[in-house]
Amino acid sequence: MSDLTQDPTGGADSTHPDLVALLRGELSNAETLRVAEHLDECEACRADLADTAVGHSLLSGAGRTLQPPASAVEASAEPAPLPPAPTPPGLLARWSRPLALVAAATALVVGSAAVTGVVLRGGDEDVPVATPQQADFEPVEGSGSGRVQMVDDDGAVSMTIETRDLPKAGKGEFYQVWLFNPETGKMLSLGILGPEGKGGFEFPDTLLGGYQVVDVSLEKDDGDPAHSVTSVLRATYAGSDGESGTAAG
Amino acid sequence: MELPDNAGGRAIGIRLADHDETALEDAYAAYAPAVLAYVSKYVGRDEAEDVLQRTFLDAWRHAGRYDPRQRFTGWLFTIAHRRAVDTLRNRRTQVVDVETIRDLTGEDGRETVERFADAADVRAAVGKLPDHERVVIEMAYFEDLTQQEIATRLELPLGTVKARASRGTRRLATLMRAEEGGAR
Repeated sequence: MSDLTQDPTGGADSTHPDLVALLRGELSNAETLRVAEHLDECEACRADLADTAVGHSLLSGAGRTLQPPASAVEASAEPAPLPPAPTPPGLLARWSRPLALVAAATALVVGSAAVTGVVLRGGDEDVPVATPQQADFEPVEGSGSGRVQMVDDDGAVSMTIETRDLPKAGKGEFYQVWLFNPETGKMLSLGILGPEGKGGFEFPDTLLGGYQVVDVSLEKDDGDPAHSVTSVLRATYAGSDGESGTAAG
Repeated sequence: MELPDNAGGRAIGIRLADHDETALEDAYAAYAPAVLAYVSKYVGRDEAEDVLQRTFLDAWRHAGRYDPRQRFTGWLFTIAHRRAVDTLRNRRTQVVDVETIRDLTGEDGRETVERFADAADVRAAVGKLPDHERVVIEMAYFEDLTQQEIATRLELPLGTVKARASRGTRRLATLMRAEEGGAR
């Protein structure tokens, strides 16, 4: 066999050096025919070619599948870096709950509308994830609106909030999201909405049973952690009797 | 980066089910690029990173439901598929291209999930190659460079690039056979 490939570690590889180039179409006609002549006479290289072809086929398929869309290639010469890995929500994952609470939470997380996914259901039967539920915000003061969506996901509720037409918060002001129980007046702060009126919050699903309403208030950055007098939006995600409810108020 | 010996897809799935936090890191290192490519195809680059993160968090939370008889990447990409569908579903004010919906949810959608799962398995196996072989293989097959171009870029003799490509390609085939054999 001619032209042995040098092993960078110092050893020798007896494989013909051009088998990969042959499969990838990188050789000239003359080079291709020379490799062909060699393969006619060399059984070991024919066996190597079979192994190389398997690897080449796997890699070619993967490369083609993972190729970025042409628009992305045009937009950027360098591929965007991969974002950092998500942090495992260990406490939530390790948290075990009494079955009764699971059932109660499941019953309570019922939104105002069926999931708007009729068109997009095909092939989802075996997907091991929860179904999002949602409720509409109604204005308490002003003319804002919006929607709250919750996913009860193996013990953790992921809540996503999108509001519309809320007046821009003034200097030193912000919109804060709460869980609210109208019967007892109990409130639980979830966090602050972003400047675009959107926010995402995550909390154990057992908390949902103690509340029925998602409230958005306008707060001042005055150091007072209590709810202000100004509620601007509310969405009811469950009736006070524990059954599903839709009304806002 | 070389992955640990127990980082094969099914082994990662089993470790995830045991709530081994390093399994999530291994899964992300091995499969995130392929998942990102998959979800970018449907939701676009701007939302793809968010869908990527939610996919892996769902994989963590639902790892107890992973069946080790099932291919891990098939399970993972099914979650990615669902998250991509959710994202398109929530675009109330934007028109979603009909072809995108058809490709994502029809018969082609299942085929696409399987194709990306295949590609992710190969991509993960490439990550297990020795670094000097991995770099050449990645440039050849994922950046579509010729061996001559790789030699120029790496400032290596062409013969060295050929040798690394040759050994890397055959080693990759062996790794994939071993992974497949271990699943039986």
